[in-house]
Amino acid sequence: MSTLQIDNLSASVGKEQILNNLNFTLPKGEVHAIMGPNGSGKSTLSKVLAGHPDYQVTGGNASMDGTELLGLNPDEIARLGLFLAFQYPVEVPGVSIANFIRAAIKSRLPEGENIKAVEFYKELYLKMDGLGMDRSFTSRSMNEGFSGGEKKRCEILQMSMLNPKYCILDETDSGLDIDALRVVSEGINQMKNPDRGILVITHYQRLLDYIVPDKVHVMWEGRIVRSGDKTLALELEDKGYDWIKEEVAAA
Amino acid sequence: MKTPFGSPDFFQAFSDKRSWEPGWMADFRKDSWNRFAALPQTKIKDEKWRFSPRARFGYSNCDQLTDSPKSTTLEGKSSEQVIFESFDQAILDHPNLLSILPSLTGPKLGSDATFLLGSSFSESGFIFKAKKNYKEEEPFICKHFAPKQNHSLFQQNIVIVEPFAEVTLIEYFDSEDQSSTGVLSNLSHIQLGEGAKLNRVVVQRLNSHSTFNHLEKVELGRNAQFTNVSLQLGSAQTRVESRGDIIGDAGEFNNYSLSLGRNNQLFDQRTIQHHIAPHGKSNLLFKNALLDNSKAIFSGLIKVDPAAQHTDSFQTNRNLLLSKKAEADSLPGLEILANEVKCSHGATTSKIDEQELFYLQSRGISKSIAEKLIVLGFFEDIIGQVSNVDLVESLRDEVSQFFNT
Repeated sequence: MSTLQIDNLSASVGKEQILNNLNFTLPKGEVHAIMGPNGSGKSTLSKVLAGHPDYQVTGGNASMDGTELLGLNPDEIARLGLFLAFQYPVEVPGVSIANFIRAAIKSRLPEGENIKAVEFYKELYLKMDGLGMDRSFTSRSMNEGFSGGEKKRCEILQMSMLNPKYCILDETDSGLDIDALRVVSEGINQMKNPDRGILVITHYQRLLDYIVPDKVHVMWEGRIVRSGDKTLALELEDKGYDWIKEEVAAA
Repeated sequence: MKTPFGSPDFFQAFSDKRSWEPGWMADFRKDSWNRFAALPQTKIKDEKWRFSPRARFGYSNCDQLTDSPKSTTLEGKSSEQVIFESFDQAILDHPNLLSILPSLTGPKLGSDATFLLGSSFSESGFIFKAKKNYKEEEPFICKHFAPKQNHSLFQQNIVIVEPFAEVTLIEYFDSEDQSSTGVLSNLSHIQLGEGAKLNRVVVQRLNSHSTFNHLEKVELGRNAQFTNVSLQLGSAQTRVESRGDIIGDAGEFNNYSLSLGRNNQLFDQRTIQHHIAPHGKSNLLFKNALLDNSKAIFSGLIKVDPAAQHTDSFQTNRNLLLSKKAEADSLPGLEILANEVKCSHGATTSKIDEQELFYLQSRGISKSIAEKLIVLGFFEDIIGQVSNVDLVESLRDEVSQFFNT
């Protein structure tokens, strides 16, 4: 029951079928990586799980600790404990980081209950310090004018403030220089815990130098075509994705 | 305009009621009323009313003057340096101040009838005068009330800020009750002397049955600085006509406004930034967020006279539509007769960004709260123009509460 469980998931956007009978299990306490070439459906998987309205599920199931996710609104899925760190975090003009995160936390509290401001800021500042974010960021508009690295740090900050059961990190390494990559990875590693499952979606192996996965899955044409331990990532780095494509074509 | 306000008997009855007034005031009313009666028929095509369902601003449903206007209340530090009195009181106490009334012309942006009716029938409003060099950070507060029971009320405000005085004025507009219909027509005449500085905030929260006509003309002397922040939240329909005339060199006119519409609310906004003297600056930003069937019209003009060289003038209208049925019409305009100026204008209308909405929802925030946050964020650069931190927080609350009712 303590898993993010995906069975035979198929999904499309518009007329294009993107996920094809995808099967995948992420147990709590583990870190898994999904790798794959561009266009293999990695980001679609994360959006479908988060409830994005542009994607139509055409078959299968996805559940979190036994609760069906498909068909729920994005905010319901998030409150159940799924967090998606975006590949391209969205700018929200005029809404400060502090107000944004407060609203997100408040949405998880029972009606009428309020956030204790002093404790909130104490925790927020502590976590910002850990991510190397200047405290003045709290009053800046969410993601507006942020550099790539700042946006990704801000995603990790939200993730750690919201304490999710399962985290999906969609291409969190893209657009990061090596220093930012180290800080962001450190932030993710601190989130590892026996009660939390973490799924890292990436195109490149380099992120996995910092976040060591328990399992690596390769995605191609909308499904998982191979799974293995962390050495699979190194193999991909070495040989590229073409041999996987050829193997799939041969089978 | 067909209204009993135009009947000689009606005017006579009003004059009898106001028989305590001095002769000069009676003459001014009579003259204004004669001009009203002589107004030509409303033109069917009138550029100043383009896109506007004009009939919604008529007085036919509220064709009696309120018999017991809830008096305008005034709050502020009393001082030898300030005059802050109700309109009626000022007729008795400060005839010199009111003697300028016949020379005032209003914004002249379409509501000539309302302007002349206001000049004829005004029974409330206030007079504010800050004397030379007077500076006060604590705001002066005025609370106006729209009448109930299908009545109309006309108000005149005269605001004079003498040279180098610096003051803040907050005006609240509410309804006497939440259920009945009324029309509140408010005329403001604002004059700033050399180097004077006025920060003004307007919060309009009329009930959803009422009509609000808000007409103002601001005149800026040399180096004077006027900054207005308006929150238009209430009413069934609001017509704003705002004129800023930069008469003295290097005057600065800033006009910021937000409107939040729902149901069938209508916000009809007409503005002019008129640069008469050189080296002036003006900046206008009107933002409208529209839910349900609400509608906003913005028509703005930057006018730069031949003598107004080295003018910097900007005008922006942004509309955020939160419903498929909401509507925004925008008519930005420029009329530049000087050759060394920096002017720009622009208008945008956009729907709520689906990606933005998904991003907030993916954090657990419900769709309705997400929309509220996006709207508050959209308005932040209007509210953020207010320099008083406590006031900024209370204005955010005003907008926020709109979503809770």
